[in-house]
Parts: sequence; structure tokens; C-alpha cells
Amino acid sequence: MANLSITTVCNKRCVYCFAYDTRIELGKTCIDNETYGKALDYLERSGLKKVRLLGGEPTLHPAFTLMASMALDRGFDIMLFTNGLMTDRVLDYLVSLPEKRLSILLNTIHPAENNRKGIRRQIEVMEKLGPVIIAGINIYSANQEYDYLLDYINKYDLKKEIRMGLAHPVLSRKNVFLHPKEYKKIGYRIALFKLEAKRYGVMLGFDCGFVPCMFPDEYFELLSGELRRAGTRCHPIIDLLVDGSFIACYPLNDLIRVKINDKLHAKELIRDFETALLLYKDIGIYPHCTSCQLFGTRCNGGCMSNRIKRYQNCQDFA
Amino acid sequence: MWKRDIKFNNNVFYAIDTRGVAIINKEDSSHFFISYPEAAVFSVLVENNDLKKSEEMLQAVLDRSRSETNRFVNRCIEKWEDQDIIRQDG
Repeated sequence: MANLSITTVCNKRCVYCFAYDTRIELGKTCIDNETYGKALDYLERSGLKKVRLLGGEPTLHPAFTLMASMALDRGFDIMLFTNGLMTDRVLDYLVSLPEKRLSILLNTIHPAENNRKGIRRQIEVMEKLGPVIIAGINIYSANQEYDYLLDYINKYDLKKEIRMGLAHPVLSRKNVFLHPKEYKKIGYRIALFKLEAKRYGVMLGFDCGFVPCMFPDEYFELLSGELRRAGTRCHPIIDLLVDGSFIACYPLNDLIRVKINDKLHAKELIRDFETALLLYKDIGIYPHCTSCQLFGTRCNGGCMSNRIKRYQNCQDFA
Repeated sequence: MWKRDIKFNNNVFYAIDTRGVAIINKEDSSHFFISYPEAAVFSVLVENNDLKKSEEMLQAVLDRSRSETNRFVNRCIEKWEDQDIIRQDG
């Protein structure tokens, strides 16, 4: 898959923002038509059927509706990663689209957050686009609560799935991220939440970096559906930045970059990124990963950014 | 005492694990794993500038006599010089 960042502009300042480094590096900017066209060519060439739009906040691109229409006209479906704080014009446009061509991953604001305007807007978006929305949450603290997501799903008829992401460190380490030592606490919380989610027929979708050992053994069967993916999801996402550079993923934004061109194919790109990342695959996120029988088979050791973070320069103590 | 003035290649990074030490050399993109007991030698040498203290620690960790410890450490150093983890000064 490939995520297309069409703008670095955002109307929120999430403390865990994985795009922190690139936002600072590139400044406030948007993808131009030529680069966007090349991106669609790349997706087509690579046999990918979905355009995944993100930012910043993608709906803030001045030509967002045009870009979305371009993708749809070329036969792509759209997955939109958004905080929902969009204009009425954009909201009306999205409402006008056929439901089967559009999915929205909404990065939800907790109802208790001091952001009444934002929460109100998200509710308006959920009211109008409910059936195409997957509620999402980025976990950056062991104290976050998730129950409100079930309320949203039931009240606004959202898809019966919650996308859960862990906040990983960007290479500069300037974002707030969840340290792996907190994972067990999170895993326990998620397991209890799953008990409640199951009552409503809601599945949990784990984004990258979840590992099997963070979940209590007694809940393995309850979470068996979700756990199939835990431990396996750390591979190059292939994100395209607004300047036309491909990166493996945002946390690893500075490790290797490849400029978009007319010949690139996703298979080669993934192969090149995976080769570059082989260097770091000998360890997992914990010192005891290499002693675990699941390591290297059922589990790849967790988020690569966390793994790289464990390496120290031999000269540090010189 | 083992060879003095060992200098670690500043392109080399390491991570200490329960099974050993993972090494990567960003200069030539090589990577490998040092298992114990060699990993103990590496950990002590890389994180201690005080040679006497390092010698005492390693004797205790390896549970060997002083001369055996020195011989073992020297073998490790020679191996890591070949692998370009260590560059011997002058």
C-alpha cells in the first residue's frame, strides 16, 4: 500500500504526531498537481486500487476535492485519514460520493478533551458520514480510555471496527510516544475493552507495532482475531511526502528516501526499503525478544523505530 | 592486561540483549550478534574507560583467573579488530 501525504498543514497539534519531523523539515506546504499525478501513475503501475490520503490534515489542501475527484475518475477508491475538522464544502463533497468508493479513518477526539469545537465538528462529520467511518485512536498514554469509541459507533452508525494505533517515536524523538515498557498495561486495558466491544460486535484493528506478549495470556482466545496480525505488522508502509519522496514510514522518515519517478513500482520500492532495514532486524523492542520463541517466526519484534532506538553508538562512552 | 588504547569504530552501534549484543556497522551495512561470554567482554569494554575496573569486572563476570581473562579478552579484541568493530590506536 502507499499513503499519500498531500499537505503538511494541520489544524491540530497532536503531541504524538508521527509527521512531526517532516512537518518541521518541509514547512507548511502542499503537494503540487504534477507530483500528485505521478503518485497516481505509480499506484496504477503498481496495481494498487486505493488512494490513501493523509497529511497533515488532507482536507486542508486547497484542491482537496479536485484531487479526490482525480483519483476517483481514474478508478481508485479513496481512504481518507482525517481529524474531521474540515470545512462544510469538503464535508458536502464527501457526502456526495458513493459510499462504496470512500472509507474514512477518523482520528477521534476524546469527549473529555478540552476541545468542544473540535468534538462538535467530529460529531457533525459522524452524523453525515457514519457508515463510511472507521473510528480510530492513537494510544500515546497508558491512561487513555476507549469506551467512548463504542458510544460513537452505536450512536452514529459507524463501521463496527476500531482502528488502534500505538504512538511510535520518530527518529528525532521529539514526539510523545508510548514506551514499550507501557505495552503490557495497554495490552491489559485493550483486552478488557475487547470484552465490551465484543458485546456490540465491534472488531479491533491493530495498526503496526503491536506485539503478542503485550496481551495477558488469559485473553488470547478472546483476542485471537486481532492477535493474528500482532507481531507481524512492521514492514515498509511506503509513505509519499509532499515533495515527492518515498519513505518507509513516518517514524523512519530519515532512514532512506527515494524520489518518485516514472518507472518506480511498489514491489521494487518495498524490496529496497526492506533491504535497508535488514540491518536492524537482529533485535526486538525488548532485550528479551531474542530469547522469545516467537521472535523471528510469529513475531518480528515490534516497531522498527523502537528497535533502532535501542542501538547506541560505541563512541557514546568514549 | 590486554591491549591498551582500543578505540571503537564510530560507525558501529550496539544493543545489549539477554542473549548477547547486536552489532551494526553503518559504514558497510554489516550486522551480527555477539553471544555470551564474548558479549560480556564487549559490554564492559564499550561502557567503561577505566581499564583496571574493566579488568576486575570481567574477571568476576567470566569467573576466570587474571591471566585467563586477559587471554580471552585479547582474543575477543583481535577478532573485533578483524571485523572492524575496534580500531587499534597507534
